[in-house]
Amino acid sequence: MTGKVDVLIVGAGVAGLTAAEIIGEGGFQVLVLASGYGCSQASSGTIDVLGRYKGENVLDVEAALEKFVEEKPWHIYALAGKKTVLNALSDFQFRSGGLYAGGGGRNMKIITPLGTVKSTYLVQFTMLNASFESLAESKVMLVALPGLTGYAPHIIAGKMRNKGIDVKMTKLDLFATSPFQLASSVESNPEVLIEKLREVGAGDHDWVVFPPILGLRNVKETWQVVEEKLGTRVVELPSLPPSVPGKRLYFLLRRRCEKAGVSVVLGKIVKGIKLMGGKVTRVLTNEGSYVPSALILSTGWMLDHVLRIRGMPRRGKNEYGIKVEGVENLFFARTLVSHEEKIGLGAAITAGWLVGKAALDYLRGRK
Amino acid sequence: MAVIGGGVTGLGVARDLAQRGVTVALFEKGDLASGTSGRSHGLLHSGARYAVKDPVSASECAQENRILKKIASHVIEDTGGMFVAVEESDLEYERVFLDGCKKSGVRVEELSIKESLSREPYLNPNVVATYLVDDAAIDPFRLALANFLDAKSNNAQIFTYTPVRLLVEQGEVTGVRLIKSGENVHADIVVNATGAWAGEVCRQAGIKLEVKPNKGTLVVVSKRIVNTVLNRLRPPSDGDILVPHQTTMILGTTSTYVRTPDNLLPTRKEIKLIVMEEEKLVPLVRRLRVIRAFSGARPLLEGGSGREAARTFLVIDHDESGVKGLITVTGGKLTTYRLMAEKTADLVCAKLGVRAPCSTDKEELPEVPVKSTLERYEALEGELRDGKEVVCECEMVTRSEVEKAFNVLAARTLGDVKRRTRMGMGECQAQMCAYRVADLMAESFGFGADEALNMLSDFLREQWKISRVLEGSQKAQTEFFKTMYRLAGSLDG
Amino acid sequence: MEAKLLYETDRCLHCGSCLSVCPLVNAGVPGNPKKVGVYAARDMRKADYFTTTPFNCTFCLACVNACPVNLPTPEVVKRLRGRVKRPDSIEQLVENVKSSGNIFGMRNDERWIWSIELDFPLEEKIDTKAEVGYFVGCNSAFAPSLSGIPVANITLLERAKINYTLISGEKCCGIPLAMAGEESVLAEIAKSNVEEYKKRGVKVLVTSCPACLRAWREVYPRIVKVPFKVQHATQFIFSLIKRGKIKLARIDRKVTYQDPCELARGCGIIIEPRLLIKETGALLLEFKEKGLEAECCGGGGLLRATNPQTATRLALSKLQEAKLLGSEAIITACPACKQNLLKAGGDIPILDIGELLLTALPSNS
Ligand SMILES: Cc1cc2nc3c(=O)[nH]c(=O)nc-3n(C[C@H](O)[C@H](O)[C@H](O)COP(=O)(O)OP(=O)(O)OC[C@H]3O[C@@H](n4cnc5c(N)ncnc54)[C@H](O)[C@@H]3O)c2cc1C
Ligand SMILES: Cc1cc2nc3c(=O)[nH]c(=O)nc-3n(C[C@H](O)[C@H](O)[C@H](O)COP(=O)(O)OP(=O)(O)OC[C@H]3O[C@@H](n4cnc5c(N)ncnc54)[C@H](O)[C@@H]3O)c2cc1C
Ligand code: SF4
Ligand code: SF4
Repeated sequence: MTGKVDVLIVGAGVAGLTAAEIIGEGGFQVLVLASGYGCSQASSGTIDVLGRYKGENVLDVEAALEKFVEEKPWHIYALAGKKTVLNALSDFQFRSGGLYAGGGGRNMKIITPLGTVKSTYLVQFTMLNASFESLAESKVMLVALPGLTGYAPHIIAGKMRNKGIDVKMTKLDLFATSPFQLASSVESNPEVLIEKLREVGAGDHDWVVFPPILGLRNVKETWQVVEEKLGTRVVELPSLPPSVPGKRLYFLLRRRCEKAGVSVVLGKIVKGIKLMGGKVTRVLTNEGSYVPSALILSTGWMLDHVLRIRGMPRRGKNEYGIKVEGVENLFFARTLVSHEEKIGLGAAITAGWLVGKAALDYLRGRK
Repeated sequence: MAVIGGGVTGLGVARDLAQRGVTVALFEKGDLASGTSGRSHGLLHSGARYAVKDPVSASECAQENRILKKIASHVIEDTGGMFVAVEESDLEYERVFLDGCKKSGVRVEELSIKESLSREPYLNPNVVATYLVDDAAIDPFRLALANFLDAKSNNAQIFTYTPVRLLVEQGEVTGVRLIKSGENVHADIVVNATGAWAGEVCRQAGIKLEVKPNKGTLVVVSKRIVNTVLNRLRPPSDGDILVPHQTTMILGTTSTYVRTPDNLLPTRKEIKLIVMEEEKLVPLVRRLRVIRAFSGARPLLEGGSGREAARTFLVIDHDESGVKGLITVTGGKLTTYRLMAEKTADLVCAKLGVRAPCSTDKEELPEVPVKSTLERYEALEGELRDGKEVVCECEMVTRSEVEKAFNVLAARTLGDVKRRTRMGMGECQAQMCAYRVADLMAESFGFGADEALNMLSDFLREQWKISRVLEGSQKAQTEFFKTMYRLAGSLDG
Repeated sequence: MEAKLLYETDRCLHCGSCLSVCPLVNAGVPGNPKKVGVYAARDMRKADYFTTTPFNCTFCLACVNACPVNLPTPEVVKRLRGRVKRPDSIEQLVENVKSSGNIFGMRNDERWIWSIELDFPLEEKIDTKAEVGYFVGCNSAFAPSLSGIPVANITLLERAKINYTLISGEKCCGIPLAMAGEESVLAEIAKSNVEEYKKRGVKVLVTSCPACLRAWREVYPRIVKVPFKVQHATQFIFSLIKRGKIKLARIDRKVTYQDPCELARGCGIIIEPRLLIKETGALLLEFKEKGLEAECCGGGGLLRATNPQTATRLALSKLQEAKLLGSEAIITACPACKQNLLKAGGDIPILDIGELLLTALPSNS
């Protein structure tokens, strides 16, 4: 497969797929090429926008962003502006078909897979109550499964106990070859899980806390069935990779792209870019080459050390810049994470949105 | 009797004395073999390497090589070794090398190039001469553990994470002071078996001892594509040894004098140099992934520069220079640790009037209850196949082995578990198993949630220390997991 | 194992992406993803540990597709199969190919047994000179349940009045050997197959088996020059339809297309089959995962021979999904898929695209 396309997007993470959807909806032909899954699919699926600022936990995101963009004018958030950041995020949430909850300008504190606490902006709706506050002073059952990794149940239970939560750990004898297998088998047949939980008296608890295994594609229904049949409230925790919430996020974006008429091709490695006369003229991959009217690079930060793209113009000092000077049809939707400030997918969504709009303007201007 | 230092030498001394019925207490500031022992190349020398420059060391090695293969076969993989001349110029060394080996009683056997290549297909096809020697791979951690278990079974007391100072009263060493608790422990004789730290300890009693810490860096690559220890046939130099260890290969080494043996980190330049040199032995090495690099401090004695300095050991009775109650044993090699211990114990026994003779050269070291990875591969059955109880997927460490590390082998931290089981020494460098083991600690070993998280933080910080000098996939992977722990897991540190 | 594979497995980032797409893992069987790097390392010790795991793979390429660094997991798995004790069924298969040139150990001159279903004698086409060659492939040639595939394709060629040839010396394409980890006779097979068609002046070779297609496109050129174009039947027949050589009547049927892994991910052919289905006027109801991200039906990798329960399980989940979609037939373009879906024993018909087209051929025009 080679040839001409309106827009070629390299990278099928959150940034790339967000941009793809916007441009596809704008009526242009979009092809997304990616070597495979990126960090987005491995993430715990919570949308971290700005969890900490100057060492302090952020709750009022709107206020913190205001200061943040002033201080870091080069950051993608500043390039977009506070308003656009929040718009991009609420748009993302709105189109998530109910998968994402939270937002509204404020962070929430959730329990991480390691039992620590993180301030994050949007979470998958099953995790809305995954906080020590929501579970406080109640009787909690924490579910563990042999072979299922991705979280540290005993540490989490210990933390809960430290906070005075009356928690009971239950080890179910359901063996999984992977969390994905478990999630999809729970989705297609929740009864097995429900039965096992009934046996151990899950119904007598105020909350049953699960790792994210309540469905892969059809989370809403699976979650509802489990909650109804158990007769208690049900929460999911986020998880470390291999990550079911990350895969849900991918499915979500993938479906949206499909609706917008975007083609996504995984398994292709982009090897180089040819520039001529201030324009990208050709994109070379491991199998064939492409001639796009516009190119968006949303290759994330992880693979930089492994898959080098030849001929890529330098973005100068600003790692976040969405354009390089002198190349009119090239856009960057590549973002960095900040471990300190707890910035992750929030930046990827913002970058995808910003670049999607910018590329759309560019393509319309050309017509 | 008190021994300071829980490297192989200290543990060897403790084992030897305990076997002879002496009451011993050993103090180690970190974990067993967390000093130079655990940072060595793990090569059970045949002696050939020292045959030209240091014939005394060479014959000591040759002798100990034979003994250890008998008493410690379960911690040794008898790979055999090769000396390989890669360039014509290496051949100039051939003559002196053979002469030296002959003189110091080191067995060498010529091997045709064709045979060498069929034995090691990834060997550089352009080699010009190859010789077979008795080198082998020895696991320093398991060696230390076997000595530990043996000493314990003869009632020695061994304290890890217990840094001590010499207790000096009126110019005489009367025991040690535990730095953390401030407690004093009296002993008739203190053995200073602190290797590269020996000078520092001696100074506490006002003794000047010239032990120069000499930094050596080693590089671990992900795949084991060679099953024989390889040495360059040339005067000892940088990056000329390759030792296959379990699933990996360790390449090395370098040599520079440093001021202190603490906190040594490899540099990018050292790694590059080593890989470049080893490529001449095995060209494919360049394409393999460097999963880790580490540095240790050789305890080198006297003057001389780097590899020139004598590598034989010293047992010093400080009584002779007027300080009673202290014996220092330092220098030497992992290979000769038993001999060093024997000589030290002989001296101690003479002073204490103990008659029992040394038997460490005959009595086999006890089995270590945790398997080596290769043993695991061979023994994998039933429960392991489906992965249910596997905590570390790369090295196939099981939950019950982690339990043994804590219950039988005195592990106290995640790093200790790593040294005892190889958990996290494989491809993914503990990124996937670290939190699982931390969770296990909270589940089964009475660690509080916060304590377990702190352990995890500390361990990861240690693991990531070298991320600066890594490249390619290893770098990407490290970044990935850093983000996993610090962003998704919100773990600070 | 080749040096290249050894260091290619070194790129693994342990991200786990491959785990989420592996059909075997998703069926609850210990699979290979994320482990081959470790396996490759182990391979050097020839430790006899992995006696079963390498056989839990359909070579569906889903893991390669999802992997950010395209780690060649299935390639490593193939090599590993050659190094461990193979199940008897696989051993037999290798023996068969070596001794009789086909996977079933039948006499090679029985390759044309399916042709009795044709309404003309095929003999006159065999070993003649022609620009178009047809490569049947062992499965279609010998498995009674698959005879419809070559019959349909030959009928379509006849209808388009194409001058084509088949060769009496056709040998197993060699992919089953590669899948068994056997590297010994592959080169011989490649040379002989290429030579046979070359002798007959073939310019385009057509096959209805995606595995054979990959052998011709990817494996043979590494061994011998292939002096003609090789196409999948869907591509060739689509071009015939476009050129007006075949006219179709419209049929009214709701169908679902199962992308064969080797055809979609292996050769990137996902459009032509769909266009062909469209040509018949049938309504295409798509699986939730399709095209390059389609889920494997369990038919590949000799899984039928090594782990039939899992092969059936995977097929059943496809049949179920098709049923839920309200589909009246599953269409595929691969003999192995068809066979596996058939063996799962549902009540929904399983057809090769060629067979679907046949139902849309106006009678005797
Ligand atoms: C383990 C982990 C957990 C995380 N958890 C969270 C979390 O809980 N919350 C949060 O907000 N953030 C989290 N993050 C951070 C967040 O996932 C990333 O910052 C974000 O996903 C980056 O998105 P992206 O679209 O820019 O890049 P990615 O998602 O990394 O996508 C990059 C894409 O580019 C492709 N690509 C790269 N180079 C090439 C090439 N040369 N040719 C072809 N394709 C190429 C890749 O195949 C991939 O499809 C986590 C990250 C990790 C690693
Ligand atoms: C890079 C390198 C590669 C090598 N390769 C080989 C090889 O392949 N083969 C070989 O035979 N030899 C090799 N050696 C040499 C060998 O590793 C050492 O000679 C041997 O391990 C020294 O053991 P040790 O017990 O004397 O010292 P160490 O293992 O260093 O033990 C001393 C211990 O004392 C402890 N300590 C120090 N101060 C105190 C205190 N105040 N209180 C309590 N404890 C204290 C330290 O924490 C340390 O654990 C190598 C050395 C290096 C540096
Ligand atoms: S090729 Fe398919 S079956 Fe084989 S390991 Fe990869 S995903 Fe699993
Ligand atoms: S997807 Fe690729 S990089 Fe990630 S774990 Fe699997 S093989 Fe390794």
